[in-house]
Amino acid sequence: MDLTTALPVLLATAWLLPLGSFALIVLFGPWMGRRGVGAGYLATGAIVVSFVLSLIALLGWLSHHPIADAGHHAAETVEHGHEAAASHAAPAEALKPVAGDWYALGRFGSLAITIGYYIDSLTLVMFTMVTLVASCIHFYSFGYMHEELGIVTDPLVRKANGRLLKRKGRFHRFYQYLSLFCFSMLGLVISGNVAMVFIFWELVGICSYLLIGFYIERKSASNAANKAFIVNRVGDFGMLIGLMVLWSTLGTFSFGGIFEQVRPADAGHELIVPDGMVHAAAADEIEQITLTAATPEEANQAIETATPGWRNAGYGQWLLIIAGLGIFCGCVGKSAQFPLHVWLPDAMEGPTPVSALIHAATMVAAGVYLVGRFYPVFTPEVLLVIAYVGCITLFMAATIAITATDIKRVLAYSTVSQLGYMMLSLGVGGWLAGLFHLITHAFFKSLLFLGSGSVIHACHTNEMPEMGGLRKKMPWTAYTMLTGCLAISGAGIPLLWGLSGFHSKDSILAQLFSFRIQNSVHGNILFWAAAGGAAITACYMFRLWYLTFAGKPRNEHVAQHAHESPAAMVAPLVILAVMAAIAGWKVPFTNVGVDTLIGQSRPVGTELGVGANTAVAVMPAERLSHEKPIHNTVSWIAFFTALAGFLVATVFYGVRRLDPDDVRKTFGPVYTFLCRKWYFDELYQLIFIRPVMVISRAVAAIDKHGLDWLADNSARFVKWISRLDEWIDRLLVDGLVNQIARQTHRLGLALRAVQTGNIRQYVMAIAFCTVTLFVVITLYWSYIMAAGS
Amino acid sequence: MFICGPFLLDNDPYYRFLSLMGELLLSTLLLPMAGAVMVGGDYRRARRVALITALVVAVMAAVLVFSFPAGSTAPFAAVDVAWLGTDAGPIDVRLSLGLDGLSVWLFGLTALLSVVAVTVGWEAVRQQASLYYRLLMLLQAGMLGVFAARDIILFYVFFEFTLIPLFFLIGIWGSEQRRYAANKFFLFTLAGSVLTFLGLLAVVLWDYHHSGTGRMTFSIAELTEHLAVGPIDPGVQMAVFLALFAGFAIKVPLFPLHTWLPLAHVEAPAAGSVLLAGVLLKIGTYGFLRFALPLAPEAVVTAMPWLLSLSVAAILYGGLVALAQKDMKRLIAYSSVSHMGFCMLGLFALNALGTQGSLLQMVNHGLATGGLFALVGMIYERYHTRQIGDYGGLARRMPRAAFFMLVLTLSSIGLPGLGGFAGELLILVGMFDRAWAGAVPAGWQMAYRVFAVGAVAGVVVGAWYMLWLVQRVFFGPLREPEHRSTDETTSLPTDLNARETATLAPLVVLTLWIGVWPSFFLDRASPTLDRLTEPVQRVLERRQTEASGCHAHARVGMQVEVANMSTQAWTWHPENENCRYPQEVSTS
Repeated sequence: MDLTTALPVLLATAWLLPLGSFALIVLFGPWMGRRGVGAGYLATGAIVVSFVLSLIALLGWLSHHPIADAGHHAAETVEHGHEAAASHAAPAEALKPVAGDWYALGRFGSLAITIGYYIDSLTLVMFTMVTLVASCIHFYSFGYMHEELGIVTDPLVRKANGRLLKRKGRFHRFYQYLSLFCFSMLGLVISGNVAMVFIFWELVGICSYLLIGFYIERKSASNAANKAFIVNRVGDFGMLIGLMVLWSTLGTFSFGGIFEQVRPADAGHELIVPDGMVHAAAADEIEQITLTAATPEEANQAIETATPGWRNAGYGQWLLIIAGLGIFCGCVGKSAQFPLHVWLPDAMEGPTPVSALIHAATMVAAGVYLVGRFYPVFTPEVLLVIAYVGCITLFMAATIAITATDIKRVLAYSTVSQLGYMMLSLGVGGWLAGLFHLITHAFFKSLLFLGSGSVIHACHTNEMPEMGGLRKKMPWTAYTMLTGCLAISGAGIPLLWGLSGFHSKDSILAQLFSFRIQNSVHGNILFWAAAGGAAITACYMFRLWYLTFAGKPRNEHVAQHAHESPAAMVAPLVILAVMAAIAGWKVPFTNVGVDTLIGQSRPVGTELGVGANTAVAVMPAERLSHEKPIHNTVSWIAFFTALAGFLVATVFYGVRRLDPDDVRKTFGPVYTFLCRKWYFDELYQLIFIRPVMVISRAVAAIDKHGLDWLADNSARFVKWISRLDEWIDRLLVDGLVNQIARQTHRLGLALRAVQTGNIRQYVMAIAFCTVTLFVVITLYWSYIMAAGS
Repeated sequence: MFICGPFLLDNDPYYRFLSLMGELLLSTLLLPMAGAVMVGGDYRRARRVALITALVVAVMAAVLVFSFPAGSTAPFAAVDVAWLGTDAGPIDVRLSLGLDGLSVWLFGLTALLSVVAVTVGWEAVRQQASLYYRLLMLLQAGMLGVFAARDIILFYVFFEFTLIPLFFLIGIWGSEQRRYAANKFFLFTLAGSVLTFLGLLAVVLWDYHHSGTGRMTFSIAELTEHLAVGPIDPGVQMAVFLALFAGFAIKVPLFPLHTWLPLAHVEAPAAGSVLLAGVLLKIGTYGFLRFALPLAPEAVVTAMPWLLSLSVAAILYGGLVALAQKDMKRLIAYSSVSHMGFCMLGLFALNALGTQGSLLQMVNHGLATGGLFALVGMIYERYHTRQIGDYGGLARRMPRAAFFMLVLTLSSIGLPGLGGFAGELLILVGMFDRAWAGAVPAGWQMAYRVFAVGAVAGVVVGAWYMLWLVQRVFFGPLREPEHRSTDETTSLPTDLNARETATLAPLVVLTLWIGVWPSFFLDRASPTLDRLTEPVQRVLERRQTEASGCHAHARVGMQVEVANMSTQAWTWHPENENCRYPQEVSTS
């Protein structure tokens, strides 16, 4: 079969299988096997088949688009690709993404919201990564969620009578949500347009909500779930605005359509402000032209000739920036970047496999993925914002991770920090480096989370001070986790060989170094923050490992009960450890690796960097970072920073030559500041949540006592008028008209009855008035009309 | 038999089909009335009769909805006979019924929610049950009639007809403050509707004096046609519009005319709340679409900025007030204010996207909020309190209720795949389109953009108060109020029983349907909606032309070219959006 027809079919099947599994579990979950264990088999089967299909698709892509020049470096491939595009169009043509639509949710005049696909090597790599990690986690959950098959005693929830809560297990429910998540995540990756991205963006959000709040009886869990969803909604606020601006100025949601307008082929794929935005901004000038032009054609002609001038004058520039920032705002929420990072650490309330899958490997990386996907649209200004947000995030989260004692929270902050690296990398032009790090990070971070889950499973506590010395009890967990620690720290021999994190982190730092050469101020800040962050990363990761596995048990009780996890949990750990080690490598004797593969999808026009002709910042071409001087320097810097971090951790926690408590005492305020997570939660409580609640209460009070009072009193006013009326009436009847006949007297009596407050009489009165008005109008109307005509 | 198919032959099968449908429509109105007469005996008998009636009506309505043809603007299932006066005039009030792409959905929604209304009070209503069900069926007939009426007098009769049964339902079977609530509801609505009636009569009279037919017609379609050719004087139009606005805005209810709503909701019995939120509020938006837009287009366009301001104010105000509520029903009532603000926003964005979104939002709000009120009623039946603070962790006791609560909440906060998303997204797209690319009156450009952004902020607040409600009531450690064991209705099981599940399940299925297949609804609705908004579009286009000289649309012509170049999925219907893509540019 042709690749362009085969790929959509393969991926659609891979995508829809989890949906089928979800639907079946919703309907028949509790009756599947003994206590719903069949739901687990079904969901796992579905995702494994999805993985196989994705792999087939990936291989199919590779066989059609081989990566040229085995032995050459990725950057050179890209360069070659570019040259090829310049000289003969055929190979560049072949690398066009496979895009199209499957189903139209609706066509609304000019707006079509469709379920479509946009498949290139990035999509395929993401698909394979997501399904592989998800498969591992499905297997792992058989062990981790085993308790849910029976009656569960929740150690964290006490009933009113002081006993621990016992409840029925929810095994099938867990797999049901996992399947829904896999479907949503794959849908997000395959999306062919921004509207579809938004649909699945929300769906992964709701899966995250459901899974964070999986232990619904825990107050903290449901708080965390709400926080996650609402904070993400704040990000979506920006995203929606970005989407709407794009649509109302460009008239399309599809990736292809947007990219073609932002980087048109006849402008050499340079980023320009598209005509739609220029025209939206130049509305006044256009009005002038249309006022003077004789025919519409002439006006169109005049507008067309004036457009380049407007563009050069900066018309519409801010619309492009708003669109970019809006989209990025959504990514800030989803990828837990500063200032919306606060939900992710709390999200650790969910079961650990969920943290591994959703809050480490896949969903939180979706923000980075979207920035990567939307790369052609970002202006240098937006990219610089992205870089700074990433930089602040990575540094802040890393510092918090040093002081955290909850093993999952350390990893959560580490995730935030690593996502910051990816954003930073994308922001300084390191498109490939950032996305490469996304993939490698997915493997080692899910490994670390699953390892921590294994520890928690064994110790029944999250607190690292309670652990220690576990490596003898659970060697598999200890050493697979050590691999993960080494990978995330970027361990390797400079210039020669290393684990996956070594390759991706080096390329990020190299890009930053290259950026620094061209932008001294921004470059220095960003580069040294990132390098410092790398040192802290190594430090907190090894602190975690030492505290958990090295030394002597600190809590005998915990240590005695600890045991190695079952095979269902260890096997995924091993697979992921292998992936964490090798994900950055090339297939032997070829140039095929994750990075070169993703490199094939580099957005057209971004090969030569961004912002060369602006004063804001220059994002240098990525291939420059692979040049010898930069590469060598950076390799050594990366090596020594990581080594420094490792040594600090070893001195304090490994060999215990220094006591961390002394440091804690010396730097008391700093320590507290870090322990309180830079006071972000308190700050937000103070500046957002409390004011909104105060305002909402005030508005509610106004509603109750103000508007309602107005309505009630206007009714009272009418009543008062009628009483006045009655009084006048009586006066008339008594004083003046007493002489006039009984008729009037009766009328007076009737009118008195009106003011009883009786609803029926009010109705009568209103009806009567209506009829009277009707008659009056009818009569006078004809007079008016007659006079008028 | 009743039908006046002007060009169809008697032996044409399609004619016979339409005629049959007309009879079906008439029976859906007559059946509840007959039921109301027949009902009697103790509560068991009464509720049985009511349920059977409601179910039969729902099935008949479903037949009507599903046989409604796509892409047509002709009245479907039309019934048309002289009522007061004759065709020859001078007065020609007709008993004229029929459905079009706008009313058919609200008609179907009403039939469905009537079933919910009957089953939701199945156990709770024991005292004066036959009267209760009698009123409920009269209310049902009234609501169905409002949407089916094609004649102004008939519309108004049904419109008022909905008022009285609900007044008694609230006043007799409500909670503590029921008298006050019922009076307030009644006076508010009546005051508005009387003005509305005057406005409608003014239109009729204008037409009588200007159409030259010498016949005073009350047919909505005919009036629309006449006024499309010779519109009412702008000044008079404004008066007409304000009169219509008074009644419909109170019904919606639009901020700041909403104060009757939370009270009525809180005090009403569950069935009353369901129908009030689900159907009666829609009469307001329906009225705007059916009457205000086609009959007073100039005035609508003039008032547009103010209407949009009020809609956005309603969205944010309703959301903020909902955030501070401690009573479940009050919270959902204020969320209705916010959601109906979205409906109004979409409607008065005055473009195809906005009105379509508005329609979807109307239907989905009926399903989701109607369902939420039913659910709160079920919980109330068990615990006899509506205070959020009295509850906690109910999901443990009532997993099914928690499921429904979550799905309906997610639908109302606009989760993709459920109905709220489709409506809200279209409304927002419509509003942004108006703010950035559409005809905006001078001086309002920035304000329109702020409105659009404000509406998006409403989405954020919406998620906040709804999810917070779910969390406080259903999640966390279990906290139950004391059962009131003296009450016999506490024989209910802890979780929802089969009756209650069956009550809520269709709502969930339908909201899912709207979410994944919105085009089913929109394909059938859009021709009618386009036709209803056509006069407004023409006014907008004319004003823009006047404002910027004779060739104002040259610029938008450019945009079309750009857009056409850019996307393969581009479908372009110039007739849908006359304002933005005028005909002459398209042909050039």
